[in-house]
Amino acid sequence: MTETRSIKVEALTRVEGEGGLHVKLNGNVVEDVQLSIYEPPRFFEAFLCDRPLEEVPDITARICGICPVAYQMSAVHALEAALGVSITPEIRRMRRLLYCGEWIESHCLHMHLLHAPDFFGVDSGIELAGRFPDEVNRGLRLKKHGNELLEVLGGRAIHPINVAVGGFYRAPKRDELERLIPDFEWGLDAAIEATRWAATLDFPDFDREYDMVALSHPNEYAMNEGQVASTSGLSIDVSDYEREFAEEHVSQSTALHSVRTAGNSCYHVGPLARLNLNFAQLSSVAQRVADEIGFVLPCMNPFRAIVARGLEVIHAYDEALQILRDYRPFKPPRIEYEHTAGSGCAATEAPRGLIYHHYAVDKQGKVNAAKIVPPTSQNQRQIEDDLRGWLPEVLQDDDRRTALDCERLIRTYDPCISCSTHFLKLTVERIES
Amino acid sequence: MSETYHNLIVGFGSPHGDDQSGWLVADRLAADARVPNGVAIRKAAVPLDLLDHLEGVVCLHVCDAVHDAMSTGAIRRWEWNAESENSSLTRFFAEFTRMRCGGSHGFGLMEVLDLAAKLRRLPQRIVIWAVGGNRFAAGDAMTENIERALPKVADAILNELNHARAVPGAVSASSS
Repeated sequence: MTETRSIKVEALTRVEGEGGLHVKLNGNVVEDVQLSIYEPPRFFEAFLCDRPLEEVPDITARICGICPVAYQMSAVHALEAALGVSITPEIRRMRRLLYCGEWIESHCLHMHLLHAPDFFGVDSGIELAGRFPDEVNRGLRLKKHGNELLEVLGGRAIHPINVAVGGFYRAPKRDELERLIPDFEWGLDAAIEATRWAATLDFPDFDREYDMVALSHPNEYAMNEGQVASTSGLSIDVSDYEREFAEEHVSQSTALHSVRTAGNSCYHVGPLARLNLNFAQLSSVAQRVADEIGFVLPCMNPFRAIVARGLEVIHAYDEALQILRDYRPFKPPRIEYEHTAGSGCAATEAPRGLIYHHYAVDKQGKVNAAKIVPPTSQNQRQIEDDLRGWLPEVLQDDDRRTALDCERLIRTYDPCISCSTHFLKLTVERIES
Repeated sequence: MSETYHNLIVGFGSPHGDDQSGWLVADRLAADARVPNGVAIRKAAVPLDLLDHLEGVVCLHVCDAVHDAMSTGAIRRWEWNAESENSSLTRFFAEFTRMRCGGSHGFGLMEVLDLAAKLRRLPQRIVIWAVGGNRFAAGDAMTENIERALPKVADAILNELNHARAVPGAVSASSS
């Protein structure tokens, strides 16, 4: 007789949003894995229709409190493509600076409070803080720098309001950015130490054959622009994204699943994908640290994403410092434009991975159609696929232990369920036959 | 870049329904010329943001809306003081297990204060002002009797700041 059982995680912790996982086992054979996202759909795309296009960056910023900049950046670039607006190099640099702030804030939160506890067998960032107060304090101070940058450039740290189609409503004053330099000099050194610390963690041996997808740009570590590239050799213009990637509805999830249209296969987005595809464009200081800690590429072990995030934090500090030091106020802060009918799309790199926006606008400047594909939607099917590979490695008689191991893997993706629709319940079902 | 101040007021909330309470109290105090010097006023969306502002803070006032545990528009006040003989943090935190404040990534207000304690960053004195709420969905309007209650919360905080009242027992709860 083979025992079939079902393991349920009622509430996955240390992720943003609400969802669950159901695993069905027949003996020790995994019959089914379903990441079930039950958080109610948020209908942002429908909210945007018939609204002035100028409202899009502020409305889409509300999709997420951790990565509002990703939504704003993708929205403004897509709308500028629709309107035929070209931005100045100064605006472009300010947008990269803003994104550096979001990467620092989001990555440092995930590294220190959400992901690191998994490597020490503790239940929470609070317990970890009791054991490693200096490391956690350092991480939180880094996170604060990211928020401060968002506050100065974006007008406020929560849902910034200074981002506009065509640029910014207001360019920062020089002294506003200069004041940040001492903290960012400290932060660059602290980010290097944090990454060295992350590299000493005990990583499970779990290498996968991923198709990793990220933006790639020949001259810079891609954030706002580039080709959509993959480790399997894809390199396409963003305008061809919808030809190569599709969204599917699945019954267990209020978030759509993304797949590659060729082969209906899953793919992986996020910091590991970016590093694997764009290491040559990473800042030299981050490259040196990667060499020093023995970070070998290609890296296909999702648990090492914590180190990838650390390397990206180093890059973000290094690039932000250069921009802060060189900054001169610029005019105009925003490129003027005429309303014209058209459509445009853009992809940028959110902390959790590639994010795609597509809008159609009319000549009155109203949005006619909107499509938003966040990174967690794109990673959902990959997470399920990973769990099918991971479960045989971690399967125990104790369903609670198995469920915890599944949660560890899911957290490597830093999933933002609120973004994708938008806590996870894990159930393991064992069948007796 | 970082400023230090001894008194910090943080309003937690969002733009939606009764969840606006903390932000509106913060806005009201920020516009009030009677707020003494050395007081910083911040708005935050999630409790984790509190950790960004605790450096050098001696006294922290927090205002947030809570679901279910209190009647709509009711105001409750809790105080913890490290120098009190009865300064059990555990007891203080236990007061909140019945409260449903918002949070993100599993970090509600209680967890963030617990984290601050582990990191030795807890202010010497913490006063929490909770406003009972009912409507928390996106786009909800604020409940009328909560709108009426918020000036009382702002005035009560202002009164404490201006009169540096003697600190009562470590854990005290009062309601109105």
